[in-house]
Amino acid sequence: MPATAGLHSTPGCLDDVRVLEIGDQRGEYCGMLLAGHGADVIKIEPPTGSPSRAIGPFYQDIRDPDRSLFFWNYNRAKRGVVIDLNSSEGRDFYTALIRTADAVVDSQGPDVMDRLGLGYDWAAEISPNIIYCSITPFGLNGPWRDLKASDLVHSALGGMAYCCGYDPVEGNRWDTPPFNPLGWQTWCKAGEHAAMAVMAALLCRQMGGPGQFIDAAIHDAMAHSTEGTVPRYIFNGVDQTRRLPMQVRCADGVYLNVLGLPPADFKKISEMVARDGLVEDAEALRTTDPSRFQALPSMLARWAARRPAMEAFRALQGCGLAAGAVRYAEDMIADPHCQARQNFVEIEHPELGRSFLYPRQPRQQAATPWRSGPRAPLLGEHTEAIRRELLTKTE
Amino acid sequence: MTNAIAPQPLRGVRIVDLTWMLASAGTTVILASLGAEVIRIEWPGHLDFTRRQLQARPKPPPLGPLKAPAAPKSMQAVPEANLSGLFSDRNAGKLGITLNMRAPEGLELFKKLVGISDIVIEGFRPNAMRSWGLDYETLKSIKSDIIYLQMAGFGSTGPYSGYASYGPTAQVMSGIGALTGLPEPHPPTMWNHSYMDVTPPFYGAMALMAALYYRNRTGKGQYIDQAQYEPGLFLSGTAVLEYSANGRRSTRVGNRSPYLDAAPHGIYRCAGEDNWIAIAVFNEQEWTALCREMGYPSWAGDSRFADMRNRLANLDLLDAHLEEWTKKREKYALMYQLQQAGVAAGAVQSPGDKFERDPQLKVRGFFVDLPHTRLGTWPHTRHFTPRLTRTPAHPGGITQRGAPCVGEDNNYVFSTLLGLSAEEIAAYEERGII
Repeated sequence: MPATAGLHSTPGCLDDVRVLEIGDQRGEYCGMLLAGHGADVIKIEPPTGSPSRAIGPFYQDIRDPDRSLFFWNYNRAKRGVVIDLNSSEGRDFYTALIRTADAVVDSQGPDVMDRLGLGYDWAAEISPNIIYCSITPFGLNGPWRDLKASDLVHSALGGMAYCCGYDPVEGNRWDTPPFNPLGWQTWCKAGEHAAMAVMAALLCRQMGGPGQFIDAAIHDAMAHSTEGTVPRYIFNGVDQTRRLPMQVRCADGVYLNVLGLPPADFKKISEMVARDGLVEDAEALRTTDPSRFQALPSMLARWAARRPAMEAFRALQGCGLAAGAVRYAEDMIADPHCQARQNFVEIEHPELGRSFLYPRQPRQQAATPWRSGPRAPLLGEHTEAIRRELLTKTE
Repeated sequence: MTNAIAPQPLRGVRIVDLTWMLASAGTTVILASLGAEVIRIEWPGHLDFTRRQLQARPKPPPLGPLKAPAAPKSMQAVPEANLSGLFSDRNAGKLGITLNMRAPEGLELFKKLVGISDIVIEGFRPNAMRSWGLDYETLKSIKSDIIYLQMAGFGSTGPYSGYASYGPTAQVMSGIGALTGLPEPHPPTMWNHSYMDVTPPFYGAMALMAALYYRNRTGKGQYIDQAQYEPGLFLSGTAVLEYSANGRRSTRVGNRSPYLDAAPHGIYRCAGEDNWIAIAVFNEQEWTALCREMGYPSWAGDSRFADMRNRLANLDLLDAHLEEWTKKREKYALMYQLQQAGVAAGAVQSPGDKFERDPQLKVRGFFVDLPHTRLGTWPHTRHFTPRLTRTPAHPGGITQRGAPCVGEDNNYVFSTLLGLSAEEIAAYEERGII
């Protein structure tokens, strides 16, 4: 069973760091990553709630700001306050919070906080060493600065979609479009880059340097996300397109990805396939030049079709072949490897009288374990508590 | 090794780098661009696999004004270790030494290096370091506050520990690969670029920066074990919750937007071969603007498209009508036209488009010319993209060049850092240790 996420009983790397997060889904993953590393992240929402509370799916399909599973996932381990920045009382509250903050993650869009008179210049006057990270679609300069974007549009412009899709019908002609990978990857990519930037700025400050402004762009992060494809174009002049991966379908209908790279032992694989009586496939595996691994799916298709994907996965991995079953995330919950590494965690939602399962952590780090909970704040949940905290501090 | 434009956030941090290929080597290229002194270790029997991939064409394209694609199709591959463009992109700003970890004398030199370093990172199979007697406890006995990051494919524990993992393996074993493409009975397309080679480095870099921050505060180092699939699984949280909370399994949906009402929402064919545009309409105002740009075609007035609810119920028909219009138009011209009208639209850019035609990346300085000792000067990509206004990152790091050639920095590391004499270095070379 996955462990239950406790309140902060273990040390975190960023234990002494307070981050204010203001904006929408474009900044939430950054805040969550910083919280995971131990930072005290306070999410600031308008009285109507963050727009991300309207993104589905919803618990029991009931559309409600406190039932968005999207919001739940990306706002774990944070506290939440409601502040109306258009009211003088709200601005006072925000000012008091800024005085206690080490960093701000602002995804409101270019100039929004400046127009409110609450941007970096203002914040740095109040708190000279503050780190201020702006996350915007295209960054704060350049001809595309004010373009309208979305997850899909970022995936297109960033080049992710171009490399995802089915085989061409012939030559350079497709009857299917490029596909955007699901899972809000564009906002996650922005969050990863921005969280790294906040950490780099924290290290600078820790060594006696000043705070600073960070201009993080989703488009820049996305442009980097396509791995070796851009260097391949630059260095080789080859524009990498779309192609189905090397995969075979197993008896249970699950696909198995097969990569004939080292340390694959083709002799051993050939013997295994021969034991199934597949003489021709075994012979092909034994005699084909291993560097011509593109032919692997055709040689393994019959063997794989006789067994479920996870059995084929273990058998081929036993021969050193980098095989992987194409599984959905929920299939990994009962996986013995994920269980051994405690990759999932039950997080309590007391107001609903039950807990829900979440991915626990992106790595194992015993000395400073990943902070995977508590659950995302209800709208305005910590407003009064944090207001009281601030009052106690000033007294 | 200082430089006038050397970046600063990780100034003075020394990293012993035993990474491999993409996922682990991608971690240290980020830290190098932030100013860390990264010492990449290889040896003759263990040159990075990437050195054999993507050997550069003879001449680099200039980083000049934007131009139409006019790149040579390929080049004569030269089977030589210092000519890989991909290796240079993934190892820019690092120092490179040769040091045979399989020889006892090599291990002794390695330990000396650990003694003057802050971080050890490796991407071997989980038992490799242990087989050389180098676990965390040993490293800690050499340098008490050492930070040790292990990036084995399936991690150092669990039943699959020791299994082989490349980017695509981690992609499918984490649930994110299965979600791309059309629903059953169509197969998943996954990513044709290796997303799970690109993503884990961010988590590795975050782990190391956070651990440095913690060490500076507490004096304590630590051991970190990051499997390649784990960041992918972590990115699948909403799917896990949908299953846990609503008992619903994941499905592929093409380019549709199941969790945020949008119609039309898709990628549509444009003029020319393999040219496409993404269009996303989230409200009635945007729909009206789109209709105006299309010149109010009669089909758009049909009651089946009258509002979001109706359009969502008739997506196939809507997509077909819209594509009749987009397919006669050039992707960038159409994107600008729709953007001007207030509709979120973006050309589907190929890798070449990003390099040759994207004016934003050019202004943002995404590509940076770096000299490489054998290849000459080539554009390299940024692996750390945010702009730190006071302490900017630079892909050239402290070396201000692309990847090191094999053993290029032996002299600096063995002589300047470890204090070996020229005779000692020559003797080690003779015995095949360095």
